[in-house]
Amino acid sequence: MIEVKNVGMKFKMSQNRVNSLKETIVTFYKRKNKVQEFWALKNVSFSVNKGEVIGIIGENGSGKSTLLKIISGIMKPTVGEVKVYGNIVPMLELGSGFDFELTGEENIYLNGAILGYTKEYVESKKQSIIDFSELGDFIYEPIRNYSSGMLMRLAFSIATEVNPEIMIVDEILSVGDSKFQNKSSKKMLELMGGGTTVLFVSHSIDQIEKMCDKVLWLDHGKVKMFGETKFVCETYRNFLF
Amino acid sequence: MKPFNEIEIKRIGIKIILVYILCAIIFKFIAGDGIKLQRGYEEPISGPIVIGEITDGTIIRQDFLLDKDSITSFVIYPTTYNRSNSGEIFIDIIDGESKNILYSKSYDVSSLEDNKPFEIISDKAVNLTNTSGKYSLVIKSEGAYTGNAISLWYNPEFTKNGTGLILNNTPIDGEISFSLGYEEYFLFGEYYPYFATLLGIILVLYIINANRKFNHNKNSLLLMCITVFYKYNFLIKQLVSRDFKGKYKRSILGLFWSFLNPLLTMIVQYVVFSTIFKSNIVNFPVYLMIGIVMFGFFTESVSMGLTSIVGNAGLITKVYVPKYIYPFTRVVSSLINLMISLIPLMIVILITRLELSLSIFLVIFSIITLFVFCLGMVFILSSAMVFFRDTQFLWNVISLIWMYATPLFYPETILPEKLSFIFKLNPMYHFIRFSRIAIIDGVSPEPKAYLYCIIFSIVSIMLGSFVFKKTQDKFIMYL
Repeated sequence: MIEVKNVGMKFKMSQNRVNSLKETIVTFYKRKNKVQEFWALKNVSFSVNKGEVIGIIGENGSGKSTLLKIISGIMKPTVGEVKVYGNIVPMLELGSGFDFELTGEENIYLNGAILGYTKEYVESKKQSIIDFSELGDFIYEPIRNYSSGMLMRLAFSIATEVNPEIMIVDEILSVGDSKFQNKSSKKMLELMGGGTTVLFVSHSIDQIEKMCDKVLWLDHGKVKMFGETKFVCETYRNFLF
Repeated sequence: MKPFNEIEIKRIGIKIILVYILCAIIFKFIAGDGIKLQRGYEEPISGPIVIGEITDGTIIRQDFLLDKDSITSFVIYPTTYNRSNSGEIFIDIIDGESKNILYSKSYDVSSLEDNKPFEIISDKAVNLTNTSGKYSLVIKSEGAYTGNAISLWYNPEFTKNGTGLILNNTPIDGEISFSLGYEEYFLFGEYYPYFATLLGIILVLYIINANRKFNHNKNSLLLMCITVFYKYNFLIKQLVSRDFKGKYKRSILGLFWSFLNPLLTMIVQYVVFSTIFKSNIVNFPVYLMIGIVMFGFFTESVSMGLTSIVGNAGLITKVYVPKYIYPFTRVVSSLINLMISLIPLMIVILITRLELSLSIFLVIFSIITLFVFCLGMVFILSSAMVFFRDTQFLWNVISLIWMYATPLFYPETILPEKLSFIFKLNPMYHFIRFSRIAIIDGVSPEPKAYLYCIIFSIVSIMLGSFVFKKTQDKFIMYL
């Protein structure tokens, strides 16, 4: 389902990010535009089968989010290649495709389109999205009037109700009030058990241990360990404490 | 994962070919004679004085330059001194290079009326053959004596480049009053069926090749376009409708502004400029309106498209969508806006009672090429914008200069002939000129005008896609 081969990602860190023409000319003139290279990921390879739930752990800055972005196609790796079979729903940040002037209903269409679904498909799923989000008639209101909880509920419903083939989750498992939190984590578990391939980043090792089939441990951009959940988690715990 | 299969791609290929054939045939009817020949008319020079009686032995030779294919009418402005005269005048048109007589005819002067334009060529067109375009009109008379000879109006102040007036073998300043109608033929128009067939064959071969590539799982430009159309159709529609809803949300008149804006601009410009430029321009309101609508589309699409990558940073860093979708949808939104503003244009056309001909449909051509041109510009500038945020401020200045450099509210003749290359280098001038000819003159522009539009749009889109493709992977680091 997902194949990651020798992926490396190089970032350029200049002392000051040059973002204007004047600055470019000035820095070029002064020859002070030192560029430092920094590999956020180096030689990362692994593969994920259909229906597997993969947890990704590692300290801050170990390259977890970069890896997720590369797999979702948002970034192109400097070296190596990523092959993905199936459509991806990235939940890197819920509601990133929302337009606040549009109503909730219009946003369902917009978000569905951004996630790559056809009109017919979004239409067929619309009702269950509205039902799951429990927004009722508020769905016809512009979402600028929504509370943050309502926004999250809508975004979560759109992302999960469409039955994605591959889901990429960055630290989001439960949103809204405690009632909806229960509902949403149940939904996540249901998806994970129901054949959706999930890549999932979390700092909570307990959660990872509970949900994942396999765990990938990233350390400073390199794969430190990839394998059985129990073994990797234990080693990681020992490494931390 | 392909959104379509082998049979579908064949069907699409056949559809494209059928549409092409249909367009080629319809074009033949709409463009009509416009692509075969162009008729023109050179304005007369008004002469304040007369040249003197044309008596026996007087020879007037007026040299003129005309780089066209034939003269269809030639008018001189005689005076009879308000008396009846006798004798004959002989008029010859002579090739300036070979000295051959191209046209020769004599007229009885008693038939001339005082101060009435007199048409010396009316029976048949005179074919012009030389390459330098130098010709002379020679006027002699017989049986005319002082006291009963006619004369011609003449302007001693006026001399055009390459022309000259010779009276009895001595060159004198000025030019006699005359005007002429001419025709210019185009090879393209004459051989249009062959060109159309050739292009059709190339198209068919290209589609067969793309089909073969598809079967071998290779990518091709055509395939990419079809993919975009099929796969991202819904997304593009959604993004365009978002643009529109966002633009007019919370405004009372809403979409009506797209309609009202060009109309109001036109009225303001008409009031301001009508006294200065009106007399030189046929149907000034429509002239203005076409410029406003087309240039408005250009500035709107580019300034909106400019921020399409930066403005959608939130999406680009979170979800994968091909990045060219964003600039593309912005230009499509502006295109829809342009369609809406064609309605006020039509209203102005109807109010000014402009006679419409089929050639108005040729505007579709200039709009499509303009669209492609804008798309290329947006690709270049939106990727430049990611790396240099100054682009948008620079663009504001450039678009202002560009607007004044384009003949929107002033006539094309404002620049002397020597400087007219400034207009020729300006792509917007060609798109707007094309539409003006098609609508106001009611004929198809000459084949060269089509070529200019196509060249500018293709250069722009090629450059734009190249720049965009080269830089798009780096966007995310700078957003």
